This record gives sequence, structure tokens and C-alpha cells, in this order.
Amino acid sequence: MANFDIMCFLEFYANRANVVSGGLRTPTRQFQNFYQVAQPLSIDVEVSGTYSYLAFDVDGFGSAEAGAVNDLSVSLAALGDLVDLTDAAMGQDTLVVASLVIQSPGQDQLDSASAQIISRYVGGIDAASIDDTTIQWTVNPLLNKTKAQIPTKKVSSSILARRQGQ
Amino acid sequence: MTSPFSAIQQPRSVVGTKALRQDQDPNKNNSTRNDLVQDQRLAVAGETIPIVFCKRESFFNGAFFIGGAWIAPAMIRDACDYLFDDPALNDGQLVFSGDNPGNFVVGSVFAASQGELVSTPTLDNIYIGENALQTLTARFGTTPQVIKEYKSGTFMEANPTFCPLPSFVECNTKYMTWYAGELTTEKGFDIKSRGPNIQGFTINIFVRRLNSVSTDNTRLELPFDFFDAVTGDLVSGGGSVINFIRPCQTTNTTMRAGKVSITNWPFRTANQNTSGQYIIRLAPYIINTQSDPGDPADPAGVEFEVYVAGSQFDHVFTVAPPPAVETKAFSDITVLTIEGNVFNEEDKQYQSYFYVNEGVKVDLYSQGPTAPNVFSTGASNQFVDLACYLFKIFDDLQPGTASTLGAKIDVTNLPSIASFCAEYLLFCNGVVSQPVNLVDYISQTSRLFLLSFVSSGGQYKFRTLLPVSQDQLNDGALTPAAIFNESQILPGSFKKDYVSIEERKPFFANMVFNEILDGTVNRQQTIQVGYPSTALDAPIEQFDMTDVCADGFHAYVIAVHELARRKNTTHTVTFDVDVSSALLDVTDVVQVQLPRISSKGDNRIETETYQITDIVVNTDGTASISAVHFPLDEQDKSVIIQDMLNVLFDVM
Repeated sequence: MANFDIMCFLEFYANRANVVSGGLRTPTRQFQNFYQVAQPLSIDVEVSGTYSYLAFDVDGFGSAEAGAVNDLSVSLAALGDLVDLTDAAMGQDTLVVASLVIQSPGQDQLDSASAQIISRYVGGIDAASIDDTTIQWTVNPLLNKTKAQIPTKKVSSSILARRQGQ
Repeated sequence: MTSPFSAIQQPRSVVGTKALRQDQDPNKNNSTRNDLVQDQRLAVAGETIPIVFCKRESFFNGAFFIGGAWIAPAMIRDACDYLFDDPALNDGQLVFSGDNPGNFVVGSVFAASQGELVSTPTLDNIYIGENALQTLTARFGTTPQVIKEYKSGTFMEANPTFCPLPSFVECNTKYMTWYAGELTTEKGFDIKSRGPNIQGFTINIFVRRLNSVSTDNTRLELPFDFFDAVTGDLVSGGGSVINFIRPCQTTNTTMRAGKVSITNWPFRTANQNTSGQYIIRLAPYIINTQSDPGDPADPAGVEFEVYVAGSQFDHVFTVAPPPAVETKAFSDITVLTIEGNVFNEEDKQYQSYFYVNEGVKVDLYSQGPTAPNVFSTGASNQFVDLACYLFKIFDDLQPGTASTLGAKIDVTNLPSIASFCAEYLLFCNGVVSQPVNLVDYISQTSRLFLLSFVSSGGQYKFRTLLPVSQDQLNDGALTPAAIFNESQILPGSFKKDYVSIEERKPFFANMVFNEILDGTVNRQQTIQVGYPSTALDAPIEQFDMTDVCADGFHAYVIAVHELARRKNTTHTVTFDVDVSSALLDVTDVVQVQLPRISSKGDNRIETETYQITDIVVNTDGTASISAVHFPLDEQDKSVIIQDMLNVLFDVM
């Protein structure tokens, strides 16, 4: 098994409809979980800004048949501003972009020569929970996989005329 | 705990499922019946309005056609009206049309589809029960016609009281009109008021002359009585007679018509408004050719049509007419109205069946953008267009945005996917009639088009179930997307699970689909397919494609894929690898080379190919891969594809 460093770059957008500015993705907040110093994601030319350090865990990258559960789980430290962010996010159409990056081991900063986005997850915060120490986000396409959803139209009383017996 | 050996007790009912069970009624929106003669089904509030998705196309210069859909929609209302007016001749006796022949218009209104149907059903493709609409006896002096109405949500939002129905159909739910039947000199019948209030209940009788026999002294007499619908008692004031005179006075003009309304109920007073339901019993009418005994009798032989209709307000109103009613519930629904006779000789209305040539208008992602983020619209028979349409109506899918911008479905490869489907005539023609989950429906139905609907990093996308080259099944040598050997597969992670013996036994695939023929109500058909050596008494497994499939060849392709996969796929595997070697996706073909070491010394490298079914990328630097056996022959060609393309399957 090859040696490499593995890290995650996390972007949060408060409004899914407002992601791009000046041709680049401009996150509301952006974090990475590897370097103590803020890092740009230099291997992605479509995003602006630097990613500040935050200790967080991410789980759930990958591919599966769409009917399977394929959520991304993000665990963040329950910092005050992140609690506020989560409070606000649960009432909005948010977007989260999580990029899993590997690179040659032992680099002082993100090494654009060897770094590679190995997997990426894009979704919205569907559920969140907060305890004394941790914030847990469940990120997915915001499409429930069990509810009856379509067709969306029902016969309404206001388009029916009464028939005898009804 | 149930006592051992006890009989099976009836299970409890699931709470809150009445509407669901109504939606699941096999007779609902299901035109695939052997017995077409069913009563016209009436819509029930709360039932799901289906989505009719189809497009009929010709192939080989019109040699044959595939597609379209037959629907058997529920009726949401009926209506009738009188398209004549000559108030100058209202001389206080009876209201009638004078010199205007007029028309008695009867309509049946159906909620045909969510969305806008592109085509309007034609008269030659509508059945009422087992009879073509065109063959029903012409009545009411009108030729039947079909009227399609559709207004978008945007329009209805801006025009919340607009009635998107033909002018003779009332949008006000508190007011209804209905055809009650035809009176003859031999046949009378009862009419019940609808709803609890007699107030506002009117019976309209329409008379039309059919010939020009001299009738100067002829009178049409229509005796009737009132009965309480609950007690059956004759209500005081009954025994009345309506006398038509003026339509009968014409001497040489045919097709003259007259109308009278019975509204002056003898028992209707202010304190009787809630007196319950009533029955008006109309006796056979009488033609009195000498209404004035002092004048000579007319010659016999005059003929009339006499039609009876009811109209009623559902609620009492006293002075002002009812307020304007918002009609926004009609938004984004295609409503079909048959104007004209849909009744048989006994005035019974059987189920209506409509052929839809081109279903709902959708964005044609299958054709690719005509400009950046711009797609043409129209009817389609491509499943990917249906999927995107469902995303749009439920989740406001916006086309063309990159995954990192939050697009939930990748549309960039859809033209290629559509070309593949077209190559094997895998077209989608059907009706989404039951409430389903968006992702679940698309995932499961995709396989009926040899597609896989994949969630990859939070974004959905379509992939072909089998390797494809230039939009055709790749029947050449395959190159695996990755090769995993002993040095890449993490020690102890490899696991192999064999498919059960029962799954691998020979069987016949019985595919159920709809046969869509122009001019004939569709029939449910089957095609039974098996490997040539399969014994005739082998098990039969059935696959239901009736929701989407309108052609036997489509059903055949899916059958042979199922047979070939079941015959040749023997096992599944799971293993973990270094994450750096896992830049793969679901359905990618990979090769696994593992040594098999035995104490006998016959060590060897076992090589097998697989199709990936699931990848989990872990943040510890590993990736877990699940894959299904996908055998290649000695020339590295897919055995499954070779069988599909080259085996002469038995077809029954």
C-alpha cells in the first residue's frame, strides 16, 4: 500500500443558488483538516479563498446505486460560530462540497505537484445534531428515498363536481 | 406470542393507507383490461393524477411504429348546457329557442395527466367501453369532439379564477350540471337531486323536433311526480305536467328545439331548504296532437328527441351569486373533455379510453443543449427525459449546472445514453400512475432500459449496465478499468459470495408489457424467453414492464440480459484497496488477479473480471469495493454480451 497524506477540504455555502462569484466558487465558509495554516486548494482552479484549519471527520465518500444510502457524515467541533452556522443552515437550501485529497507524504503545505482529489461529495445538509462537543451533519442530495413524491398532483376537491353518493 | 399450530389470524391493517389503496387499485389508470366494459370510473378526491409519458415513432420508413399510450382516466365532472338563446320569445309560457335550432351539449371531463400533453386524442382513437366513440349513436345534434385544456402553474398563479375548461363546463365546484337521460314515449326515469339541499336543484328538459310533420295543434306533455328519496313518499304538490307547445307548432322547419326548466318546486319554501334528497319521477312523454279540442288534430308521425339534465348548487345561497372561485387546482394538469354522446342506448356511461400519441411536454435532455443550458421541449420516449422531468417537477431541476454548483443529476452524458437506448429500441412509453419515490422509481426502472442510476459523490447520474462502445453494446475485447492484484488488495479483505443455486437454475423469463396499437385499446402481452436448451417445464419468472414498455422487442432485450446475467454470473466479491487506485465508478469493469496457493503445490493465479456495484472511499486511505462477477471469454469479450447478441433464444 502506497504512502500518502490524506486530508479533506470542506466548503460550505449558505445558499445553493449563490455559489459562484466572478467565475469561481466562493464558499461562505471553508475548512481543511490537515494543516494548521490556512491552505488554498490550488489543484482546483474553480474555487477561491483559503481553507482554515478545523478538526473534523468525514465519512461516506464513494459511489453506489442511487437507491442505496449514500450520505456523507461530517463531524465538527461544536464551536460557537459553527453552532450558529448549523442553526441557520437547517432553514436554508445549503450546499456542502467535500473534497478528499491525497498527496505525497511529509509536505509542509498542499503540494500541487502531487496532490490529487481522490473523491468529492456534493450535497446539502439534510440533518444535523449537536451535543456538548460535536456537531454532526448528514449531507446528501436532499432527496428523501422513502417518501412517495411523484406524481406530485392529486385530484383536489376543488376540481371535482359532486356526484351522487359522494 | 401466537400459540403454536394456530391458524393464521388476519393481520392488522396499516393505519392511514386508504388513499394509497385507492391509488393502487388495479383498475385505476390501467387500460390493460380484457374486459373493457366497465362503468366509467369517477375520480375521488385525493387520488393521484398520473403522468402520461410517451411518444410514438416510426421506424424503417414507417414499416412499424413503437410507442404511445392508452389511458383510462377518471372522470372529474360531467356537464351539460344549452347553446341557444332567444329571450324575445319568452312569452311567459315556456322558454324555448324559437328559430334558433340550438344544441344540447353534454360533456365528460377527465384529469388525463399531470403536465401538458403534447397531442390531443383523436376521435378515431377513443373508446367508450368496447365501442369506438365514433360508432356510438349520434345524439344531441352534435358530432363528438375532444377538447384538451392545459394551463401552467405560472398562468394560474397570475389568473387564479380562470376556468381552464370548455365554456359549457362550470369550474365552480358548488355548481354542477349533468345529463340524466333521454325520455321517450315508452321510457321514463327518476332523477335524484345531488347533495342535501333541494334549493338550487333544477331539471332542464330539452326537446328537439326531428321532422317536419305539421304540428300546429300538437303538444308535448311530460308528466312528473315528486318523491322523498328517504321515505319514498309522494310529496305534496306532485303530479304536475310540463306542456311544450311552441316547439311543436312549427310546420316546416326541422331541428327546432325548446327547453323548459323545472325549478318551481311546490314544496320548496324557506323552511324546507334542508328537507333532504328528492326524486323526480318523469313518466314517458305523450304527444297530444290535438291540444286544443276546438281545432283539428294534427297528423301523427311527428318525432322528437327529449333529453333531461339536472343542475344544482351544492350549497344554498340566497341573494347574491356564489363568489368567484379560485381554480388554481387545475394548474399543470391536462384536462380532456369529450363533448358529445358517450352514453349507450340505455344512457349508461362506460369507461373512456384515450390513445395518447405524444405525452407530456418535457425538456429534451436526451438531445443535448441547443445552447448553453438551453434544451428544446416536446414529447419524448427516452427514459432519461422522464427522469429529468420527474426531477424538475419535484425538485426544480435546473439544467446544465456542474456538480460542484449543486446540480443533483448529471445531464452531460444523457445524449449518449439516449443513443444507446434508441439503438436497442429501449423506449419509455407508459403512465406513472401510483405515488412513488423519485430516486427509488428511477433506480429500479433504469434496469428496464439496461441502465444504472448511480449516486456518485452526492450527484446522480446514469450509466449503462453493460460496457458500451459508440453507443452499442461492446462485443469486442474489453480492457478493465483497473487491475487489482495481491499487492493492491489489502490482506484479509477479499471475500467471495456465491450466488445461490436456485438463482442459477435455468428458467424462462416471462416479460409483461403493453402492446400499443393505433386504433385498438392496448392489451397486456407477454413474451417468454429462455435459453435454447431450457426444458419446457423449467420455472417461469415474471418481470413486469407494463409501466414503461410498449414493444415486444424491448421486452425481449431485457429478458435476454436477465437470462445471460443469471446464467453467467456466479458470485460477488468485496475487497479493500489503496484509495489511490480507486478512481472508479459503479458499473466499471475491473480485473482481480489473486494467487491460489495450496499444499499440493499446484499454485496458480486466478483471474476474474467484475463489475463494480459499490465503492466506499474511507478517510483512512482505503477504499472498499463491492463487485459482481462479469465473466470474459478467452478473447476478453463479455460472455453476457456475447450471449445476448449471438444466442438464438427460445421465444414463446
